[in-house]
Amino acid sequence: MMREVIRVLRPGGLVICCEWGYYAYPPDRAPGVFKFFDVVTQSLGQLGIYPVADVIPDLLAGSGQFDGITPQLYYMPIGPWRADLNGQRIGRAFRAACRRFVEAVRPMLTNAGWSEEALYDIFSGYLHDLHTVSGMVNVYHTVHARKLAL
Amino acid sequence: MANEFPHVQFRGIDIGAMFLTTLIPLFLNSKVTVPIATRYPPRNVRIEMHDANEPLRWHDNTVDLVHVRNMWMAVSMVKHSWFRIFLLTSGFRPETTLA
Repeated sequence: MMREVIRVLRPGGLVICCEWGYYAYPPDRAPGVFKFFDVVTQSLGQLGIYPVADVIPDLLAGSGQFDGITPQLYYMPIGPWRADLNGQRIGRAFRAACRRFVEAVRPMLTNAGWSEEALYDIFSGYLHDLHTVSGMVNVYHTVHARKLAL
Repeated sequence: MANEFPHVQFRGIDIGAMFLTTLIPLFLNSKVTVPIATRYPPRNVRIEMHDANEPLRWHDNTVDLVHVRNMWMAVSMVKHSWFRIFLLTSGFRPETTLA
C-alpha cells in the first residue's frame, strides 16, 4: 500500500497517516485490558496482520522518497479521569468507543477458536478495567511527510 | 473539508469491500455493513469500494495529498512480503505488544 501512495503522490505532495497504537499496560495494573489486547494481537497475527502504527515513520524514511517526516503522538484518555471538563468528555466518549470495540472483534475471536465462555471472561475483565482503572490512555500515532520534488 | 474547498476533487477508497473478499475469515459471522462511507457525499467527493491491498487506479504523480487513516486491521502483511521483510529487518517483533 505504501508503494501505491508513493506512486500516485505528485512530487512535493503530502502524505498524512493516522493510526491507533496498541495498548500496553502492566498486567498487574490492568490485567483485563492486557489480556484482551494480547488475545486480539495473537488472533490478528495468525492472519498476518501486525501492529504497524509506530513503524510507519521508519517505513516512509526507508523508502527514500520523502522528507520532512514528522511523527507525533497523542494520548487519548480512557474514561473521565482527567481534571479538565473537555478531557472528561473526551474520555467518556472514547471509553464508549472502547466498549463497542469488543463487539467488533467478537466474530474474529470466535473464528479463531475462542469459546463463548472464554470470551465472556476476557471481555468482562476488559470492561471491568475500563471502568475501574484510572489514568489509562490509548496512543494515536500520526505522521506527515512530503514526497521529494523531482 | 469538501465543502470548504469546493475547487478540490476528493477521491476516497472504502475498505468495506475488502471485508467481503480479503478478510472474510476474520468477520465471517459479523454483520458488516458496506459501504461504510456515506452514499450521499458532496459533489466534489467520490468514494469507491476498494481492497487496500490492491493497486490504486489513479495515474502516477497525480495526487496532491494522501490521507491514510485507521488501516491497522486492513492491510495484511501476508500479501506484502516486502513489507514483512522491512518489519523483520527493522527489529519489529509481531508478538510484541506495542504502546
